This record gives sequence, C-alpha cells and structure tokens, in this order.
Amino acid sequence: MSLVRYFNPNKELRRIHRNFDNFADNTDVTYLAPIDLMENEDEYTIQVSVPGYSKDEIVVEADFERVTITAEREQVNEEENSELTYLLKERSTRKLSRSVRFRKPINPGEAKTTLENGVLTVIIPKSEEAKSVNLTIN
Amino acid sequence: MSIILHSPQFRRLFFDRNMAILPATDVIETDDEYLVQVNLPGFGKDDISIESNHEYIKIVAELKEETEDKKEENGVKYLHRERRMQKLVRQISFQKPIESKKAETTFENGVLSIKLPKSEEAKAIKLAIN
Repeated sequence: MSLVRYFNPNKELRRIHRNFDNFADNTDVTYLAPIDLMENEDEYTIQVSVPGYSKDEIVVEADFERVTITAEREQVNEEENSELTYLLKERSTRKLSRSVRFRKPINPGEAKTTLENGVLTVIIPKSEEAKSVNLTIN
Repeated sequence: MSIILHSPQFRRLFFDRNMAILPATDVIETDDEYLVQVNLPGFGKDDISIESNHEYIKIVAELKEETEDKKEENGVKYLHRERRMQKLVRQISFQKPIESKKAETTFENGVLSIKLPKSEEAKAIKLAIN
C-alpha cells in the first residue's frame, strides 16, 4: 500500500458532487411534492406524488380550511455502506411536504385517503355550511 | 455537469410538457450487480415496459387511457395541476456487460427497482502463471 494518492480528476469531481448533495441533504429543508387539486360540487380531491414512501411514513393533517401532507423517512447514511457506489443519484431522500388551503370550509372528519403506486389521494367533503341551499319565499 | 443536465428539474424547464419526461433515477453499483431505482408515481405495473440487452436498459412508462379527460366530463374541475405525466422514458447504459435475463424487478410504492447482475465475463479473475 502506498501513501501517495494519485490525483484522479474523475473521482475528485464525484467527491465534490457528493459533498454538495450531502450538504443539501443535511440541511433541514423540505421539498414541495407535486400535487393535483380537483374540485366537484361536494368534495375536493388532492393527489400528491410521494414515490417510495410507505403508509407509515406519510402524515396527513387537516382542519376546517387546510390540509398538510408530510412524507419523511429515515436517512440512510451513505458513508456506512461504502460498498455501494452511486453512479447516478437523482431521487431525493429529503423530506417532502405540501400544504393546501381551501376557499370553502371542509369537513376533515370525513376525509378519505388512499395510497396507490406512490400517489396519495385525499378526498375531503366540503362542509355543509359551504353548500348553497335554495331559499323559499314566504 | 451531466448530472445537472439530466435532472428532471432541468429538463422540465426546457422541454415540452407533452414530450417524454425523464423520471428521477438512482443507479448503484456493487461488486456483483447494478441496482437501478426509478420513480414512477401513479403508474401501474401494466403501464411499464422494460427492454434490456447486455449493455443497456430502457424503461418506458405510459398511461394508456386519458384518465384526466374522463374526470373532467364528470363535473370535476382542476384547480391546480403539477403532476401531469403521460409518458416517462429512461435509458441507462452500463460500462460493464450485464446479464439481463437474470434481472429481478420489483415495483413498490411507485418505485421500480431492477437488480441487474454483471455477467461472468465482466468479473476479474486471477490468472495462474505456469
């Protein structure tokens, strides 16, 4: 084993890039998950892309006007499994979060959530008071 | 630089939305195999096709029916839309030959994982001196 380390530009560049990634990974930044938001007469539907997260790693919070979706999982420390060499690393392992505020009051108690193929669907009925009624003239 | 150029965020800036989009991908190399992980949220098993030979792998995910249009017919109105992706394509070439017939694929929570063993000829052996 020699003590001289030869300069390998390719390796050095990769190391710099990895340090950049680690820096970004270690800062407490949350990323916005892409969503679709739909509305019909009775309910709102939110669809969020959270690929790679399981049920237990996703938290959905809701009140009368706002829904917040957070997906977080434990970080795998790369330095520990040094046998693995990342040739390409684009999939973010950072915390994903998204908050949606609705114009009309919602009924969070009756919300339904499903997770399928990495897409979380939240269906929330609008609250009774938000629906228009026909008034009769006496 | 190539990592930036191929990142989905960069591509989205400059390419048409109806074109095939590059899904975010990890490629991990160990002594014996390559592990490819691709984010394909919203696609089912049947929407994904994988093509491979000894040096590359190509993953195509395409939604067959226009589900969005159907929804709109049923009185559903889109208020906000970011997740539109009809077709995702990714092709990865490997430096060392792979045995694509022995590949193992799993699809879980919208992430496609493919384990590709390196072929025997790619592995280093010790030569004896006579």
